[in-house]
Amino acid sequence: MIEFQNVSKKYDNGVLALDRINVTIEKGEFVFIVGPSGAGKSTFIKSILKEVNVTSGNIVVDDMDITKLHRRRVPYLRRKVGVVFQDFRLLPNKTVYENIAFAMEILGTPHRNIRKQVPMILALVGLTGKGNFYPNQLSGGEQQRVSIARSMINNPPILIADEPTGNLDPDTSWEIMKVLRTINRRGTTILMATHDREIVDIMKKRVIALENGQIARDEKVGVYGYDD
Amino acid sequence: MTIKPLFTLKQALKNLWRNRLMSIASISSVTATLLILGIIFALILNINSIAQSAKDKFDSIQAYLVDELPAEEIDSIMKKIEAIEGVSEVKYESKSDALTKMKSQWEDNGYLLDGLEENPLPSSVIIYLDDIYYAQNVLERIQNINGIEEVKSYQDIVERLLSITEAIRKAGVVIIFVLIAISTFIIHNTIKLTVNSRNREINIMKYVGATNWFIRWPFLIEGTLLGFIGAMISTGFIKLMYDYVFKAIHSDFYVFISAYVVTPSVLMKDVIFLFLVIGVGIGALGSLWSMRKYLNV
Repeated sequence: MIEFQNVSKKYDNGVLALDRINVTIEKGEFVFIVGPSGAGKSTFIKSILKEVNVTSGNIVVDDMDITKLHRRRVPYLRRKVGVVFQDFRLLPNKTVYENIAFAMEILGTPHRNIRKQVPMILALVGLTGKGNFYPNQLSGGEQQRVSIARSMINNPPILIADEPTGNLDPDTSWEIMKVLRTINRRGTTILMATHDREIVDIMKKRVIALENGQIARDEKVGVYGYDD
Repeated sequence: MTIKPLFTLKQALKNLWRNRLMSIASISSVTATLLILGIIFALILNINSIAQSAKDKFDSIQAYLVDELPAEEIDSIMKKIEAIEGVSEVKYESKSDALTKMKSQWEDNGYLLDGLEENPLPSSVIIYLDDIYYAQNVLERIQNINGIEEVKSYQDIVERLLSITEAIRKAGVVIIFVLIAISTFIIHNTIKLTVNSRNREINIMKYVGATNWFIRWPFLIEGTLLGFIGAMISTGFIKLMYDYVFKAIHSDFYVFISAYVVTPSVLMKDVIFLFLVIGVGIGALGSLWSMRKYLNV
């Protein structure tokens, strides 16, 4: 599903953020990306979204080499990769329903389908009946579920979560993880960058640890392994 | 991709209203640009028209003949002139032809000429040129022919007119380009305000996989609308101004040039087209420019 072939990224300021990375992530996997700040986690994620262009090597996403993907084709790559951020990134002047529908409108989905699918995805993330609320009327955990719902509404095969629990308390974090696990069980490949030791240790999923732009560990059933 | 034109238009109007100060600034700058363009355009059009009719009228040279020249001599003079390079046609105008022509030019006052005992007008040869370019050469050659008393040409006037037209045209183009650049810049700034305020939305749109054109579309409408409104206002102004000037010129005093002045309806047809194209163009360019930074992620 995602393959890094000898990928390096050197920024203009000389920082080597990714150093000859080779890694393959299969369809349906749930992978944690861990590592200290500045280890290259963000660059790793951004390069899959083609927000960052790598300096050398190839990245294959969903059987497509995106390294030389034309700028104009990038939107079509992003439709295959849902993204969830630490800060939710919801539009404050739109309701929950509108925030999610927005992602479908962009792809030109007919209104009939939008009306049908938004309640379904709201049920999946456990927000049934909250469609008419505005983001500021919801708790942090609920807002993050809205953002997950939005990223999943168009059924992308891959979901990238960049510290999705970073702003949430432990209980709420677990609720989010349950939602992500449900999505993963439906067949979506999930890549989650995190600093949350407890979650990584308990989930018992694959862990890729990055340090200084290199893969320090890659374990099928891994642990967080840092003292923070 | 479903683009809802009515919704987008409403949204654009709402945004323009929200930033109304900048909107007004943009519209005024487009209006001012187009007004100046319109004035220069009207000037050029009229001078062109005058120059053209002057050229049509004066691309001939009239050579007056010495009185009482025998027919053979006139014949030989005409042959000599015809042989000169650049001469397309030579016509003889007898004394009586000249008188008839004068009478018709004087119209109602023609009867005054009936009192003449003797025809005072000279007979002449009218020489038509292939092009005004040959005028100087032909003039010099004719003056040396025996039997020709005087040569009259309008070359100087025509040349001066043409050089004035050229100067106005050149200066106009430079001024217009500077003004267009300024207007585009102001619209660029206006649209940037809306783009800034919707930065977050644009960012999310990009992550969800919206194409650049999908994102650009509403802003493009906004900018185009600014240009369009400016074009409409300036068209109205130009119409009012030109109607006024046209009427003023048509008051008795200027009658002799009024025949060459372009009528408002002819001018407005060109102006509307020109203003719409340039106004909308400035608007579109300004908004695309302001989007550039945000789309390069």
